[in-house]
Amino acid sequence: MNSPPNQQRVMLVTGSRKGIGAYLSQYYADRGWHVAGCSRSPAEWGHPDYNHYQLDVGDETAVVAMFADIRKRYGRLDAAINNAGIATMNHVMLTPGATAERIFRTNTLGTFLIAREAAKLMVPRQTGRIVNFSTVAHPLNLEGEATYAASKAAVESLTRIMAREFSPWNITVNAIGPTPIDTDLIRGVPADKMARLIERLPNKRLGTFEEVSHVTNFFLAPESNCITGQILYLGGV
Amino acid sequence: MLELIVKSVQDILNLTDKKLAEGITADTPLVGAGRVVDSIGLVTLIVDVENRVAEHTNRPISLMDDRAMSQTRSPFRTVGTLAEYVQELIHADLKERS
Repeated sequence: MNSPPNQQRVMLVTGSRKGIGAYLSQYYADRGWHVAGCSRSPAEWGHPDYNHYQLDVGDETAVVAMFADIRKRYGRLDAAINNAGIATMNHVMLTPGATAERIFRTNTLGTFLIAREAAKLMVPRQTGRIVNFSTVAHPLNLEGEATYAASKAAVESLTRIMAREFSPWNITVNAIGPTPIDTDLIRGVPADKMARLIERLPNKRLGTFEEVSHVTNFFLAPESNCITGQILYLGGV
Repeated sequence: MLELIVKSVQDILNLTDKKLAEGITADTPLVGAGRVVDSIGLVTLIVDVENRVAEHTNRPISLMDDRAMSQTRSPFRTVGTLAEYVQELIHADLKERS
């Protein structure tokens, strides 16, 4: 693992093994950040400015240990992107409790734990950026996505309240609500269901990774110091 | 440990330019009547102490665990009770690991 010089900005991206998380990690590592990423499995890619932690974001002990290592290794954290998330498409009457619990554990508890520990690392420098991930499935009340949308509705509530609670230390907390993007998260969704979902969007197409980094750039910018507690949906939702 | 807490409280007071008539001692209250930090200051103090202890012991420590929440008398009453509580947590952690 590489240790960045103290002046280098440090970012944490969860769910960085693949998909949007891998894209954002590489994107910011290419732009001068040192990126620490995590996922339950080893990373499928590498970068000189990237370190990978293997853990479950819903495991409090593992999350605290990761932040202890980040503190020791880098002594700072400038931004945290709470991208890790899992989904399932199923009717409520056909969804086992264990599945619902697993979704809330990763999406909601994971976001809470990462944001809490990130903020603690940001307090000494009195500045920081936290970006959470919501989804358009919440405002659109998509049938078949009850547990996923509900777990993200809770993320939105966390985002708004953490924005208020963290503001004394100039830590902003915002969320992006992307439209479906061609990643593993939606790969299991039948084509006809996806077509119906896309039809409900004002912008009737899948989203792109570049549209996501456009929004994260906005939230991370120094000029966005007073942009906090906001949920920004893509696709015109 | 008392020294570490006193230094942390002092650093937080310096941030707010608050001057105390008397120095910070074990009896300096952190909550309730005569407290020297407001609620945000107390959160900052707890996070700062966690960070300092982690640096000092190379072990992460959480001051706000179920034990702290369930105590009838808050361990955050004074600088001295906080120092005692942190010491207890470090001992418990060492015991658990041995």
